[in-house]
Amino acid sequence: MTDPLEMVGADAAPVCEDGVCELPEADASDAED
Amino acid sequence: MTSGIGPAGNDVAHVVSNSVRVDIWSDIACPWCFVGKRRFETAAAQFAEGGGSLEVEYHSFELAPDTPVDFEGTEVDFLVGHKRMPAAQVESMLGQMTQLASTEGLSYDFDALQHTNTVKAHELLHYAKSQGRQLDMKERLLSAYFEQGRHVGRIDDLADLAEEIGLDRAEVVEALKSEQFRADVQADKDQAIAYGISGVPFFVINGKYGVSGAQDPSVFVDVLQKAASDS
Repeated sequence: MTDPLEMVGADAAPVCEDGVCELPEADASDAED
Repeated sequence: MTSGIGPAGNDVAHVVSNSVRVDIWSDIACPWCFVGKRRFETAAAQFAEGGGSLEVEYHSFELAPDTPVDFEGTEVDFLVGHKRMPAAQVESMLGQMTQLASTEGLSYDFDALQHTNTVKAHELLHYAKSQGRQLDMKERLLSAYFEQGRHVGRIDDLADLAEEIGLDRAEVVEALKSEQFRADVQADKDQAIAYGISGVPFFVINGKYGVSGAQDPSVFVDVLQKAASDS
């Protein structure tokens, strides 16, 4: 049986999950192009 | 033999004692995994400078196992489908990702990137582990995928990459064709589920501490020192 892990570090650190990665948000001006 | 890790991510063949063990779940097709690898290596170098020693092993995690080996389309096409965002916005975000990766010394080239299924690459990583070369193989695969536009889903292409780091091409082809290491890939995926890992990169330190994501190097240094002081 696997013991539960003690989580360390910031919750918001970027990950990839379910085939999708948290990409940096683009500037609004970029998105409008 | 255990594999230590140096600042450049190369295998250092030496036996370590009282070392901190780090198990890393990661995929190839994962931009944060390469960034996280660099940030972890920065921390590992600091930890080593303080006299600490590490034993590092990579484990398989498939983010998109349904992806075909020969995905037709660009990375933008893939992400537009998955994120349901306009192509222009995805392109802008990839530009931001490229810029961020460059701060870690990485030269991402999303225009050249060839999206593919990564299960064979994971099998290759297990083969490389059996040869004591897993860390070198991991670095080669990530760089090939993100920086060089190389295909990392087909046996012949993977054998080329393995040969480039000095592994036996014929043995690699045989191992991948026979799916000799497929069960090891599955075992890693099962262990990830047991830990509750849903995203990568994910770092398990001494089987006790979990670190999710491409954290700042200081986070890794702190947890490595904490783990070392436990023992």
